[in-house]
Amino acid sequence: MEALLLSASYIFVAFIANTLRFYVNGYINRLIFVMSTVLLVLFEQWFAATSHTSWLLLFVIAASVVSFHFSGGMIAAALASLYLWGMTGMLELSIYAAYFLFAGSIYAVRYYVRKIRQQRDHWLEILTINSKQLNVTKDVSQAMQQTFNTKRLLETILTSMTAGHGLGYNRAMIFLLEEDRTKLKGIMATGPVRAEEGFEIWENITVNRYGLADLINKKEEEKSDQQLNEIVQNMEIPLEQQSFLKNVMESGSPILVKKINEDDELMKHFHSTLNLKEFAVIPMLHQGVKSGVVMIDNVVNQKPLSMHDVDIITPLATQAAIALQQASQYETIERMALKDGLTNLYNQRAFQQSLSEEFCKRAFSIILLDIDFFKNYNDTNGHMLGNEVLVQLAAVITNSLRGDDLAYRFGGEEFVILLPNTEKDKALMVAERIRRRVEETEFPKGELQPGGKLTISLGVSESDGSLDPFDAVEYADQALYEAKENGKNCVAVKQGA
Amino acid sequence: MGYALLLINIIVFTTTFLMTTRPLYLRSLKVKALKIAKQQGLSLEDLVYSYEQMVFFTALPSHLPQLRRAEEKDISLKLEYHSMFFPRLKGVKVIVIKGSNPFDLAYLPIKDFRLPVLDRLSSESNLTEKEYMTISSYIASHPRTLHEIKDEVFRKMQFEETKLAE
Repeated sequence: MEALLLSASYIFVAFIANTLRFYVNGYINRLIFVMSTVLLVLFEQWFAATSHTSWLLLFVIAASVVSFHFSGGMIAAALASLYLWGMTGMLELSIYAAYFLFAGSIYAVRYYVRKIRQQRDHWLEILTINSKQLNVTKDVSQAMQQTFNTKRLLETILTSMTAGHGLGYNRAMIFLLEEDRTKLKGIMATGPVRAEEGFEIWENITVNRYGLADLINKKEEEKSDQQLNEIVQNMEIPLEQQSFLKNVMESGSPILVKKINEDDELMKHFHSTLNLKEFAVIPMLHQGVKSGVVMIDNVVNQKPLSMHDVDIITPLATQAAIALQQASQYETIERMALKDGLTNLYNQRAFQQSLSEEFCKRAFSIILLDIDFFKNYNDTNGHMLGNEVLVQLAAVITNSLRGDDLAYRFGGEEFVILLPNTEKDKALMVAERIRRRVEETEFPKGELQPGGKLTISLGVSESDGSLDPFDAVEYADQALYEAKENGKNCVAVKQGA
Repeated sequence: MGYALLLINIIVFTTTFLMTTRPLYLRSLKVKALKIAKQQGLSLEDLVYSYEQMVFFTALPSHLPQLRRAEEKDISLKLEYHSMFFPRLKGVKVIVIKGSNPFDLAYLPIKDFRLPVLDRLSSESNLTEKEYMTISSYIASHPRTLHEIKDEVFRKMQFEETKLAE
């Protein structure tokens, strides 16, 4: 009966201790645990016929070590010794020594277990950080493969840096080096200007459960982060003056700023305009070429940054540098494919692309023109001067066009102009303006041409949206032929069916 | 009382203590979270949260047979604690049990389980970090949240064509 009562009391103590201890602070929580083991000793003395107090005190010592580490264990061993001495009235030094030794042993085991647990937590943290970084890099790489559009690439990179599904920094900004390499220009930014705005964005993302891909698409659809973007895009940072950004660009090394340097005027400017307090600047570096910097900070949650964050951002900054370089090369190639190398006007391929089905559904006019007696000009003055004339003529044409009109070099000395939403009469006015300006322009050796000046002939055709675009070109060609037949240096028109 | 009985009683105490520790800790989280919420005028039911900081240890959807063949019932969520005697919620581990070996698929560290409303209160110094952790731990350990996490993980495990077919 007494054994049953004792077991019941032990269960009761364990349950009550656990029920109470989580409602108090950590210290009292630990004290309750130790005191519950002390209660076991007392209950055992009250209920059991044969007492094993000296053994049970070991349990109290173990609980003390678990709760209050080495010092707690030693104090518990001393108190247990005193208690046993008081209870028995006998000085049993070997038992007291055993108590201290036991406390030390339990502490050693506890220390070892704690070390293993800390190590395991550390590895888990490293694993989560690296997995996250890997996931983000993978997502960014995938997004990058889908476009060569610089704007879209930068949006992707910035969103990955700031989204919770990504790296979760509150704000990221990109500044790119200008072509003359003398200044940095603010290009794009993601995040709020003020913390309050950040909470609203954060709440919206959470409510809608936006993932990284959603946020990238959302950014494209909406003009989010407008205020921050306006501020950043208006920033031009000359690199002649000494500043933290100049240091980063010169050294190619990232920096972590924990406190605003009052001697750095640029840093003070960033602090006042963007509320930047603690931030990291990472250069965008690829194969030794610096293309700009990425800046990150935690303006909303004020989470401190460390060099570890710099290490996390660096691969993305490198990815950004690579992407920008590729996008730039792609844009150059695209430009070269669609533009005429001599006159810098669009070429015939671009003209064909312009005549899309969508474009031709609306009314438009075409002007086809070529230089009168150009063979004579080349034979008399040489092809080099002929090329100069083509360049000069292209400039005259460009300067004579209206906002939406587009000029193309059609081939040789022939040019074509596409006039969207334009009826024949207005196209004729444009054509006549070009003809007159060419006539008035002094071209090199133009006086050697028949008539004493260099002139052009122009053919105009019109489509109401129902005409096949190539028929419209054909009509313009026929009109040009007519203009030539009519004595050159004039405009002719051919009406479509 | 013999030594055997003494040993049995110590085992009974330790077992009772350890077995009731985590449930009673979770119970205390609920009581404390409700109290803090009441003080702050919040409704715990309406708090929106984000488990976007959940980290996946493998890219999803995965071609690993163990993951590809797994059904939602094979996904198990395990609450991870800091200590055995003095538990504090550390995170939520997502494990896929298909076949003989459990597969550690994802982990949500509780420090990264953020709630915008609490972030705002915290930034205004109206909520201590300890109070924040109490509420976030309670919500993270709530069966409804765990169910949502499970759904989300399963959704991520599906290939696009499977999603479309559904």
